[in-house]
Amino acid sequence: MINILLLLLLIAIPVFGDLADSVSVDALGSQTYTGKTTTSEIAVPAEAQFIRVDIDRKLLLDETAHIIVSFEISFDSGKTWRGLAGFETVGGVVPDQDGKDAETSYFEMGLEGIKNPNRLVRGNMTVNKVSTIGFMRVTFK
Amino acid sequence: MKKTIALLLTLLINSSSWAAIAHVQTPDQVNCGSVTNCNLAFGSNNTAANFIGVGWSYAASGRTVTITDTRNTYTSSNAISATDAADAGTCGIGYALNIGAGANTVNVAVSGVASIMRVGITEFSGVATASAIDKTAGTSGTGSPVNAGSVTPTTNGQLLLVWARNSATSTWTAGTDFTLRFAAAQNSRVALETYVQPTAAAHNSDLTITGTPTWAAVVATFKEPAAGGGGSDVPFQRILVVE
Repeated sequence: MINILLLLLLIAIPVFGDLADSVSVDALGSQTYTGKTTTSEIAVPAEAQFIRVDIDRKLLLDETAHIIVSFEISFDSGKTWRGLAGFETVGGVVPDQDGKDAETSYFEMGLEGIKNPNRLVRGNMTVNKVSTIGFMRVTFK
Repeated sequence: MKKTIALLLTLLINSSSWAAIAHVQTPDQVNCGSVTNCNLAFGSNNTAANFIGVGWSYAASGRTVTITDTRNTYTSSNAISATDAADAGTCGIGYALNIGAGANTVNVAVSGVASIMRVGITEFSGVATASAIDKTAGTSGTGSPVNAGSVTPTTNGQLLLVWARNSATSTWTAGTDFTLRFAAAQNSRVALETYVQPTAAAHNSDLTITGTPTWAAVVATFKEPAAGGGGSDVPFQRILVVE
């Protein structure tokens, strides 16, 4: 029960002010996950042209863990949704683009509908076994 | 009266076979980090019998790439690829013909975790629903221009699809006749450009970039349906000859 309340608190719909550079929100908090977890709907700042979704993998040390992340986007305040992008990764130590141990796995892409104030995103994370994820962070800029 | 009916029939028959290859949609490319799979959704539903082209790249070489989606079958994905040995990066093109209709997310998987994966997808109408692939080429180099190679399609009206990746952030400019398919601001490391060539002829598969990064690039050409004849640039002459 506490976990559920904590989750709800962490994934509450954020309210953004002016977008100076980038805005980040933790869509899922640090805890153990298994099975499918859905984020709440996250408002996309009207001026945002870009989205990046990271999961913190520093505690994701089990090499047999599989994590699937997928995101959807709405342009009409949640009336309709369509797929956006996502990724799959595994636990254990994996390299980042500089050859160092990756701290996150992520996807990033441009967004359509700039200046549309009715954009929302939401995501799913599916984990094949009990795994600790530091966070799922959504960044707009 | 007979002549009028014949002309009308001819018009109908020919207009139905003029489905020249045309761009339908291309969402922005996606960049994934430290993953095994990277996926990207189309912004609108796919239309039945259309074509999907997939550009992929990853920061390594020698991996097996597998492309899947909700309902379609993709060609052997490593067949059209090139490696930039200087930057240890590989890029390639996969495709699906005669696709099914509906919402669709395309998934590109590599064997083993890739530190960087980039995926671009594009939908075209009018491509042959079988045996569409004609010419392919691929190579690597340094600095501008990025040129996957010269290809000479064997028939008129083919789609030339070029996918390129480079080792550093650059601004891309399309080659002669080509159209870049991603928003300019997102073209930092990969580019997808296309051209529907009215009349078959040798054509470079090139782009220009800023700076002097190393790069790899590939091109594939795709035919119209065989019954479609010569493409979009031969309209009324064909009607008059038949009549």
